Amino acid sequence: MHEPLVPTIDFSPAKAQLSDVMDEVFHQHRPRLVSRHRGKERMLLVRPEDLLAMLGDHQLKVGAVYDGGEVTLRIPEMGLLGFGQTLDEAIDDLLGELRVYAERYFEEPARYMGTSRADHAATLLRFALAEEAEQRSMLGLEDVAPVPEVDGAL
Amino acid sequence: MKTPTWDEVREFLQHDRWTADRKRSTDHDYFTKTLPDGEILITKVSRSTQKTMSPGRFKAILSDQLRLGDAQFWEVLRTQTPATRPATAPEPEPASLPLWLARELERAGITPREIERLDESQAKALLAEIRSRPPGAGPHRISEHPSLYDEASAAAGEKKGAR
Repeated sequence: MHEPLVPTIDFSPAKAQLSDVMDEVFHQHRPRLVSRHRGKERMLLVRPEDLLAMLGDHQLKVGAVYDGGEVTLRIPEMGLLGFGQTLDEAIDDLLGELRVYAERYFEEPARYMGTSRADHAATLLRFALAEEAEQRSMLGLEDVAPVPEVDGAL
Repeated sequence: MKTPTWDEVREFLQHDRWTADRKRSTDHDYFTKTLPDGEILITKVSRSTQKTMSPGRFKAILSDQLRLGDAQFWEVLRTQTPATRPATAPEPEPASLPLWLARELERAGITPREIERLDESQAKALLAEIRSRPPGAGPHRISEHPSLYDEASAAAGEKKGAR
């Protein structure tokens, strides 16, 4: 295993100096690797806000189906659906679905990481760590690109 | 398209051997199914047992969560035996608009009934036209677009064009 590029501390001193380690991670924004069994087992300590920034933007592709006085929102890549009589209701329901999915996913990550759902981990982690307003913005509620010019009148 | 009640969806899940998830703090019950290749399907069922749903919603459940066609769904209920996957005739993805586009149209005063009739290119064209109107031009009416309005009306509520 190559030399870690992130500051690393062995498990026993980390345990003994946990308050100092947390000060570094939280106040000085320094991620730390904690290592044991000669580096065979490692874990990363990082401030959640820093991790959010590191994860970058994750915009979900959400589709809206209007039919029969109902609105159904879809995230096909995750197989999630939000139901409502109005668009706002469906948005709230979809946010609830994402929360349930994230909760379930991080309860049993090994179950999901071995499937095509492994791709959802970063997006779900970002969603799980975000404030509610940020969670909403991940749904792509705002127009990010100008509506293209259309030839001819409707 | 015939659509099921939530009770029928629940019955389908039982025959198709889905597993009930632990109770979550929402208005729905959740079920999962692990396919032979390890893939995990997840769906939810409303507790409004006798209530049914629109064809659009049923199609989304079939294509995104159950991974089956409509005929297979009813076949499972009839035979009370699990479905075969991958489905030979899976439900095509339902036509949908990007969320931001639907939201902008609603903000511009287009009603859900009117949005229902639009495919994505029509919806984008309508939004571009609305945005090009001078400020203070008054509320937008989809009936101002004869090509959209007449065909949609003639189709008696059916969506215009293929998406």
